[in-house]
Amino acid sequence: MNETMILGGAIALMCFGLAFMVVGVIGIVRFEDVFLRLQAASKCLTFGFTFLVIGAVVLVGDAGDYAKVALAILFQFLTAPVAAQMVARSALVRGIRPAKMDE
Amino acid sequence: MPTELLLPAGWQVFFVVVLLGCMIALFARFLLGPTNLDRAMIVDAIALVFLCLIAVIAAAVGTGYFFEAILVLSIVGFLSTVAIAKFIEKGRLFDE
Repeated sequence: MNETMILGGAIALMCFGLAFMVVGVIGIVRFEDVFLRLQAASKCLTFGFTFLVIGAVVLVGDAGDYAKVALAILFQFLTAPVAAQMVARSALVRGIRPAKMDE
Repeated sequence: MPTELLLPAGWQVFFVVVLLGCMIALFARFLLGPTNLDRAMIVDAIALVFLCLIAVIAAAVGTGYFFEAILVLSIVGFLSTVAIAKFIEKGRLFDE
């Protein structure tokens, strides 16, 4: 009974993360501008990654694996905004205008 | 923590197929992308989808060593995007 609950909870967490990953990928593929794509990539994909990895470590991890995953999520939350900000500033410096700004 | 608690086979196939579909869609956008900055950003997104694939494999196999791979790739994965963005912005990487 206990193992069934752990398995169900882990699969629910992983499916929640996977749904966010799929939504973020649809956003990246269908948006029309590099800024909109950056927004989809840096928010949805990071959030989906968080829940999918937490589901995996709940299923098979021990205490050390929990620490590693917490550190990985912390670094992902630190580095994803840095990369997004660098790409957005580079696009602005290179003269790429946001899609509906000039209307 | 009880041992031998793994992801069932049907769920393994579901997660791997959906994540590979995500990766193929991102690669199509990588080929179509209008500017090089789109491509630099999509490299980061592909790395993140690949990290999720490693997590699914760890849950399927039951080995804890895959989480170290997730940690290391999560730390160094953004460097390529930052390097390409800085190179496109300034034309060089290091200020002498």
